[in-house]
This record gives sequence, C-alpha cells and structure tokens, in this order.
Amino acid sequence: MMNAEVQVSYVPTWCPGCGNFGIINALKKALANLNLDDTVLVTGIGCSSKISQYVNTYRIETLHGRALPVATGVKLANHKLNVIVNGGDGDGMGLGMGHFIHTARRNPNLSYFIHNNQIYGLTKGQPSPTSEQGMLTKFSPAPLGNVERPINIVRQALTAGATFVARGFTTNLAQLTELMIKAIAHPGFAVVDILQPCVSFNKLNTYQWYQQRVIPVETMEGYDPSDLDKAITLAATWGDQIPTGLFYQVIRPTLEETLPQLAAGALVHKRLDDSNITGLMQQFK
Amino acid sequence: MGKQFTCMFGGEAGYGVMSAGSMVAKGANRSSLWSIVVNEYPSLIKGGLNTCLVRMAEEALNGYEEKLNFLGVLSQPAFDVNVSKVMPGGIIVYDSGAVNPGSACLPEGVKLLAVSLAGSVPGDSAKVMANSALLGAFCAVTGYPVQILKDVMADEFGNPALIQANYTIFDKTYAVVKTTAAVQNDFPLAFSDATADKMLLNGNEAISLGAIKAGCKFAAGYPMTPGSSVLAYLADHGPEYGLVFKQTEDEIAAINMLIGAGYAGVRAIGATSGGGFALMTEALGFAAQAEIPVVIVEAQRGGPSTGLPTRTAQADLNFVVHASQGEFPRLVVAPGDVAECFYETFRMFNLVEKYQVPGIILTDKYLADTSISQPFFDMTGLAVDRGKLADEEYLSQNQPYLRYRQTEDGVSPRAIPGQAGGRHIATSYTHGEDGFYSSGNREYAAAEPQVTAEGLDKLFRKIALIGQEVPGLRQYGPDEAELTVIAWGSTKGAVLEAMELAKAQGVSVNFIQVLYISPFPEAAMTKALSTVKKSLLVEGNKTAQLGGMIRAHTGYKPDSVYLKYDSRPFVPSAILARIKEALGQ
Repeated sequence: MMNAEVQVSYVPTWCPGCGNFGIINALKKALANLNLDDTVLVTGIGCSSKISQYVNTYRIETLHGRALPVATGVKLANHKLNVIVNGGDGDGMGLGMGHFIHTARRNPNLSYFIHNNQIYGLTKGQPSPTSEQGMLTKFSPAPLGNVERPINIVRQALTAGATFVARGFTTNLAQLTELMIKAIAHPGFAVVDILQPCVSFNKLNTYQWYQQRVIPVETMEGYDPSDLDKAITLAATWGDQIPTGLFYQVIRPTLEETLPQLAAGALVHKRLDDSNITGLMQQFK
Repeated sequence: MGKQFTCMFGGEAGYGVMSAGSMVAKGANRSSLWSIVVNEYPSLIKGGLNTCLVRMAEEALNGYEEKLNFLGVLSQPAFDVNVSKVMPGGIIVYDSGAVNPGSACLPEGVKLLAVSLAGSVPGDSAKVMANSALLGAFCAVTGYPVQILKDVMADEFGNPALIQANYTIFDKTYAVVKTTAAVQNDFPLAFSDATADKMLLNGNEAISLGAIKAGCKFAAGYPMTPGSSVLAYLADHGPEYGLVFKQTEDEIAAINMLIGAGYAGVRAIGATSGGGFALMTEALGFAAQAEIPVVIVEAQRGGPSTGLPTRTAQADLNFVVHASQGEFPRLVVAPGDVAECFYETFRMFNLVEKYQVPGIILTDKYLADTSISQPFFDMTGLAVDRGKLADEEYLSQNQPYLRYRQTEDGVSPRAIPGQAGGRHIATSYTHGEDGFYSSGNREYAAAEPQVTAEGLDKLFRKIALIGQEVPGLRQYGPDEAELTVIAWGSTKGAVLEAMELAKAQGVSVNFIQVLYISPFPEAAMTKALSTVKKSLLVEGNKTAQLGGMIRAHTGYKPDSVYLKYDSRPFVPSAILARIKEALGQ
C-alpha cells in the first residue's frame, strides 16, 4: 500500500542480479509500516549505501564508515524518530569498526542493516574485512590471495554488546523482512547481518554458494535467543552451514533512556532563546 | 598603565599551586581589583613543574609580564627556573624542606625567605594542603588581605572540616612568618568593595557560556588538551539547560554525531585541538557539501604531531582554513580575548545556521586557559537567528521540496526530519537541487558538468553575504600612526598593552586585529592597509601564516615580522621592543 510512497523516481545503479535488490525490497516492506516523515535512513558510502537514494524517507548519505555516529547524533537530537542505518561490510567493518563496537556499547535505539557481500564492489573488487581467506582479488592476487581472517559480523555484534543480533539472506525475502521489522521495533541497537552476493566481483560467495549453506538458526541444537553464550557459540558456525535468523535479543536501557535531558521531550523541540546564564556568570565571581 | 602586582606560585603538579594562584586572583577580582591568571604546566599528573602567575591591577588588564613581586615555591625546579624573574624589591618564599637556594644569583634587593611549608603540614596532607601554608606566607609578606583570601578558600573547599584544616595551616604559617621575618604590611594595591560584578574566567569557559546562551543542546568530543575544558564545562553545566554531552570513541565520531544532530535540527558544538581537528577534516567537508551547520572549537597547542600538549601556539591557521578536500565555504573566527570568545561563539551559532556551513572557533592554549577579570557579558541584542528553516507554509507551497534549491543567496530553506512534506536526501556526494547524486540517472548524468558547477557556485554565493555580515577586522588606536601592528587571536591582549606602553613613550602605534580569518576580509583589509605607514606582523608561528594570507588576498607584505614559536605566549614588553626596532629606535 505504502510502497508507492516509499519509491522514488531514481532507478538503482546496481548491477543486474545484485543482492541489493532483495534487500531494498525487504526494506521497503519494513518501511511500509512506519510514518516516513518520522523516519531517517542513514547510510555510509558504497554500493549498498546507495539504497538511501531509492527510498523516500528522510535520508542522510554520510561518509564512508561514518553512518553510525551520524545516526547516533540524529537519534539524540530527536529520539522520537525511527533511525535506520544501512551500509556495507567494508564501510561498517573496515573504517566503521570502531564506531560499530562503541555504538553497541552505547545501545542507542537504532537498527543497523549490514549488506554483507564479502567484497568491495564499488571500488571494483578488493578484499573486505569479511572476505574469506584465500580469496583472489585485485588487491589480494595469486598465489596468496587474501591472507587475513574474516570478521564474523554476528559474533562481533554479540561480543560488543548489541541487544538484537540477527542474520538474513537477500533471497529469503520473508525472513529478511521479518527480521528488519523486528529490528526496527527492538528498543536498542539492532544489528542484522545480511548475506548478499556481489555478482560482479565476488565469484566465490555466489547465490548458489549461500543457498547450499543457509539454515534457520532456530532449527539448530542449543538455540536460545535469550542466552548470550549459546548465541555466541551458534554464531561461530560458518562453513558448511551458515545459520540465519534471530541469534539473540535482550532488553537493556537505551542510550536515550539514560539521559534525563531527554525525558521531557526531544532536544530538537527545546527552545533556544530562553537560556538565562546569569547564574553561571555569578559562579565566576 | 597603573600600579601592578604580580605573584607566582610554583611547585610539582599535585601540590595545588594552580589553585593557590587562582584563589589569590579570585579574591582580587571580587574586590575592586582586576586580575589575570596564567598557568604553565607540563603534560603529566604528578611531579614536573607547574607555575601559576597572577597579575593584579586597579584597572582592567589585557596581558601579563613575567616580572614578579612575589615568588612562592614548593620545589627546587620552581625556584631555579623562576628566580631570575623576581623584580628588585620582590620577595621569594621557598619551602625550606624542598628548596636549596644555594648560590642563586638573586636580582638586586630581592628578599629570600625560607619557610617550612610542606613540612608544616602533618603526614599525607602535606601535598594537598602545602598550598594553604604557602598562601599564609604570601599574605604575611605581601599584606594581601587575609579575610578576602579566607572567604575564597571557604568557597573553594566547601566542606567545613576541610576549610578548618586549611585555615589552621594557613594561620600557623601566617603567624610564623609575621613574627620571624621583617615583612612589609601594606599590599601595594587598594582593595575596596567592587562597584560592579566582575567575572574571572578563561576563553574555554566563555565559549561554553556562549554556546549555552545560543541554545546549543548537543556537544560531543574526545578529550584533548587544551580543548577539553569546553566539553567538561558543558558536561557539568549543560544538563541544567537541557544540553546533552556525549564523549565519543574518537574525534571522527564526534564531528559525525554533531553533523547528525545538526541535520536533525539541533545546535551542536565540539571542541578539540589540532590533532583531533585533523581527524575531523573529512567530515568538515561533508558538513559543507550537505549544507549542515556545525560548530567546532579548535584550541591550538604546540605541533606538529603530538607536539606540546599543554603549551600555546598559533600554527594551525593555514590548516584550519584549508582543511579537507575540495573547495567549500567555511567560517573561521579567531577571538582575541575572553569576551570575544563569548560573543563570537554566540554569533557563530547564528552564522552556521543562516549560511548552513561549518564554523570553526580558533583559539589557543593561552586564550583557552588564561582567566582574566571582566564585566559580566551583556545580553543586549543577543538574538537567536536560525536562518531559513522551511516552515509548514513553505513546504506546502514548494512541492516537490528541493533541499538544495538554487537561490539568489545560495541558501536553501532547510527541512528538519519529522516535518511533513520535507523528506529529502542530504548527501556528501556532489548533487543537484533535489540532493541526488548525478550519475545515478541518465538525464542527470548528461547534466553532470552543469550540476557540478552550479552546485559549487551556489555554495560560494554564501561567501559574499557572510563577508558583509561579519566584522572581519577590528582596529584599535589612532587612525594614523607611525607603526601599525597586525595580529590575530590571543596576541590581541599583549598588543593592546604594548600600544599603551608605546604611547607612554611617545610612540604612536595602531593595531589591526584580524577577527574572521575565513571568509578573509579582503576589502576591509585592503582599505585598512591603505593608510598604514609601516607595519609589524606579530604571530605565534614560524612561517607568518597570517602574513601569507594577507599577501595572497591583498598583495601586501608587512615591513617587519615578530614571529614567536617557542611555545610560550607573547608579552607586551617584547612586542614594544619589536615596535621600536621596526621604527629604528
């Protein structure tokens, strides 16, 4: 119903078959339930971050790796807004890793959707922080390929203290949409690692490669989304099986809830012209 | 210049010499006197050498000289480094348990007084209360009114037991010194009741007050001397005014949070020094490209790199004016004194919203950290101006809403998230009127060269208006003079006092202060220079950075330069010497 309003006239520049198409479809469905005037989509820079050009909420397309602090600033300025962050694995786990850890620690009420294609696409094929060891790319040529160990986003999010951690797959639209809706509804920092092929540059992690491996995490032994240790154990599974779904959810006070200044209303609605500083000046006598 | 009295307290960090000095200054400030407090300290927590210089006078002060009437020291280095600064007739009180004056070459007529200071305090309290012993000795030998100081001490310590403990130590040392030493009894300056309220505060505190007054509701930053105390003040006092401060993981996060808050409609400020500002530079361009207001305080310290964390410099001027890739308008104001720190911070919050540009308040360690007496700030005429906000009526009449609509003045009405009809994309990419990145669409791609050039022209149309609005220069002294001093930032105080010294010696000097570095006040400077007979450029850096800008914008080359890059502030007597040298006197 709301899809028409979500849609803008610009046509995505993603390659035909790009995994981002599945993600934007899920995002549009998730946005359909929200008041778009009260929703801000914050993106970094990269193929995935261009998603902010193709939906019609308030949007801010930031710098490479810096979407999370911008989103935190938006949220603190007006905590009544729905603030959703989208970006890629390079953007978020490379330059953005420091912000990722600290945002998880702070637990602002943001949802963070990481389009994880395990490669740098827009710069035309370099290893990303989530690339498999041995992957051959322009920056990691034969014979060695990529020699660094990949970051497991789900496990990283869990250990950093994110309060909602999930993994989706771009072709499983129903599951991904549900995870996005739950993440947006979650009061706290909600991370969704979204597996996504890059059809142009990642010849290893293809649609078929993922389809052979993804398994609903709920069906795995020891699944308990209220138990952090169990979630971390399941998160370590990456190989023949790659679990998707909700790994962990816990309610902790959000950053906004810890700030008494926000109790009376959003910062943006405070008057600017009624600060009487005479008392402060007296203190310097 | 009227009568002056200058004292210095020195010792290891942790012994409270800085608080001793500030209490002496505060007592004077509460009466009819005016004071300035200049702290020097190394970057460490305990040990080292801290000094606190307090100059007091019967009229308002602009600067200081290291010409001491009193020196009180708790450590050998404090004695060794500062003994030569004591003036004839001055008094040195040293801790007999910590200092061996040896065969120090004393200036003529200087009295040397050994007093047991730290030793007079029992046990572990020695460190924290030795300064009260030192203050007792100070009052005894200088005649500084005991009750005035005790009142300040009471306010400072708060807790009655603590106050009493310090009074006891103070009284004991006071009595010992009074009875054993031949001392003067009358303080050379007259303490009388203050006729008007005065404040004793530094540049960072004034900036903080300016931000609060301007309706700033968000601050973010990472600790970096000498910018940190702005953040500490806002963290402490901001909440009373509904302001939120967030410490971030680094300065990159800080400026990006500020930009997020600015985008969402909240006035926001960050404070740092050169190293932190270096991390902010990419986002500075983002703010300009996306046309999001943000205010950053850059309190300069010694560089390059980690440099000298706790010492002053004016060497970041070129960096701040040119920081970040590409070309864009920015505001850079360099307040010259504490009052300008307040008023220009207030003004900067209006300017960054009116013109939707990043604004930088460029100070230095000396201005940030030096407290100086002054009247209460005048709130007359301080009105918040948020510039072009797209209101409901505008949004209803201008659909589709174009965030970056081309306008005559280059400023487009800004919608804030939450407003109906204002949805848009704000972006770091080069973009057209609707905010879209031009290559994403065939029609757009064809128009890319035009969109790019028009977008940049739009940004730069703001410059002309900003230039008309801000007072780029301030001029002091006679319209025509034998010599014109050109300076910027905290050098102002020392130059003003040097002008007075020159006048007293029959040398006519005037002064051009460059207040706004960006946009550079080219027309005003060209006009001001047209009547200059001879000039002296005074800057706290090695390469005459302001001089280079003046030359680039006006073709003018100063006749002489006084460049100081030894990590310490300017003093008036040294500037006077350069004035005379420049005039061949």
